[in-house]
Amino acid sequence: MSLYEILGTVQIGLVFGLVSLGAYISFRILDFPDLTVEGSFPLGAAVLATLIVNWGWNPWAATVAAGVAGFAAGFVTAWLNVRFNILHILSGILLAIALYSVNLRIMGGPNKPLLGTPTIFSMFDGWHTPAYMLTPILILLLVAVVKFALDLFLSTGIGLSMRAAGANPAMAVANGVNVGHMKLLGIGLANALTAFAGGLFAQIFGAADAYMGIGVIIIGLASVIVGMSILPSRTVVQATFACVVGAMLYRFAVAFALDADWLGFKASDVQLITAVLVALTLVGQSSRSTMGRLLKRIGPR
Amino acid sequence: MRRSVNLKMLLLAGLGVLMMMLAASAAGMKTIGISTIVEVPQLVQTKDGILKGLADKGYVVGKNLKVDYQNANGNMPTQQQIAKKFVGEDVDVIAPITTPTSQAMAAATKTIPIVFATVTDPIAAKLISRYKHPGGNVTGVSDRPPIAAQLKLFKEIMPNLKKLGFIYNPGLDSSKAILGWVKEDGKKLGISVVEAAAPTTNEVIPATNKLIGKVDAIYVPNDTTVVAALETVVKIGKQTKTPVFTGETRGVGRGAVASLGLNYTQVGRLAGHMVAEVLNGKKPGDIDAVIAYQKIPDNTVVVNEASAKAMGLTIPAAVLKRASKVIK
Repeated sequence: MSLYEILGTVQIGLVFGLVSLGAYISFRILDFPDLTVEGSFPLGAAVLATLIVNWGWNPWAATVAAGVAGFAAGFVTAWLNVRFNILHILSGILLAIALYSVNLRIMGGPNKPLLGTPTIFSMFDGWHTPAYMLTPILILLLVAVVKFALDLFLSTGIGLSMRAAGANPAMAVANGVNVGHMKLLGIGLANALTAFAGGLFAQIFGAADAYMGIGVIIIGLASVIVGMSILPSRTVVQATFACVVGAMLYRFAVAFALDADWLGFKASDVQLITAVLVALTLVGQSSRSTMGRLLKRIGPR
Repeated sequence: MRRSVNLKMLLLAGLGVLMMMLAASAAGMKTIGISTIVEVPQLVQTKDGILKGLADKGYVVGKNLKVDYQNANGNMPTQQQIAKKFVGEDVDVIAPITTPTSQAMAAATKTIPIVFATVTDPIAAKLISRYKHPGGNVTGVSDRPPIAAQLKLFKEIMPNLKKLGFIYNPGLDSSKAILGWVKEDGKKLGISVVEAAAPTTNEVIPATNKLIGKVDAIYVPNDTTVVAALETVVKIGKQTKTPVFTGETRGVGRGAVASLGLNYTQVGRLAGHMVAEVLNGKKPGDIDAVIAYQKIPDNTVVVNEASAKAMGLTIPAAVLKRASKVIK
């Protein structure tokens, strides 16, 4: 694996760290299995690309707008659930399906290229250090800011109410928390993060595409679970860190799978190898499995 | 205890990386990276064609050529990682197949030569700004289908063809482009187009049913989503005596009445020749990008007499004579 590939993997891992943070809010904090992200990730990409290419927006403003669009999508999902009692999974699915068409409308077609247009990364163009080194640094900064902001938010009054609403809704209601409002805010926030990630990803990928969302939910969820099972996640600060690391590990599993051809694997085996690597990581952590016990026994105490 | 396990895993990963570096250092060979977003027959044919084209020009896999072939399994983040991998390996040429794959490669490098294959509209995809001397590090082969010639063939088989149904996945850039061309070229021949959208393979049946009774014939473009359910469209076509034509000749073997089209092995082969030119030292920006059907002189005409009969048509003798393959 070359330095370039490693940095590229880190970069994509960080972007998906944001998706993973979103999944942490919806799945872990609010206990709301939100499938909207399959649509809000490409929504962020679509909004960003259209604003930059057709409207000539500043890429930074467009990236923020992508996040705002994601918030709106998540808000609608939660609203369908809270206001009309539609099952949470179903309202997410409905939004994900609807967003496919919405994204095609926004882009006026299935694919909007961002090659040769200004992006937030094109500010590095004149610099002496190559862009492939600076891009991950910029993304790292963005992700760090988001992570700390999220940590701070979750320790405010509203944040604590949100955590209570997910952990024990009955008790939260008894303590005067409006659980519905918390879902609206939380799922909105989760999708804002996802769409923001989609906007960043489109700028790295060189295009927004209607099919960008395929598998995003799986990656997000796997990242949360992997991260939390190998790193301590008792406090929010630790948990959010674990999410970002989990996303990174997932991308490295993919990178490893891509390089596995010398083991006799074929190009189409990548998904399988990735799944096995992620499963191995989890098995290795489980005290129930022989391998987990074995690893723990060999490890110095 | 937890920490130590993590350390072990890191060490293991490090070891793996080292081994891979050793494995990759076979010297004295040209390396090309070929990638596609999914493995479907026509894309695999394109890939095989690229290798044939390279062999034509003396670059043989295993002898003086190393090929890193990667498939993103439909996953865009993985596609992006493949781009990073190729650039990191500093391959001599990257040969991406399909539009999103090519865009990911073009975004990842401004220096490594890129020769795309099977991109329907490379200008709309912003891969190149013009076909002649495209400049930059990108050139390649467009698989824009010979629509005008196809429609003429359909009209020859079915002189009363006025309304043509068009089933497509609106999420595919290429299908949208083809729809535009079918409308444009159809107008000249007095054929109007009725659209039916099928965003997933499961929705091909309702889309086809929607067209029945409203159209004289159905056209299934070279759209991976719809082509996957071609047999279903053919079945409905036979039941309702609505002829089905395809944008790709292999569809005729699966029951469509006729098609005229590109041979994807040849498309790949053209790209392979361009890759060889780059390996020989020519700059990609100096090699004209091409539209495959303009370069491959005779389009293949394939007809299916059994299907034609089942759908209430007789194929004219002139067409049978011209056909390179007749399925009975």
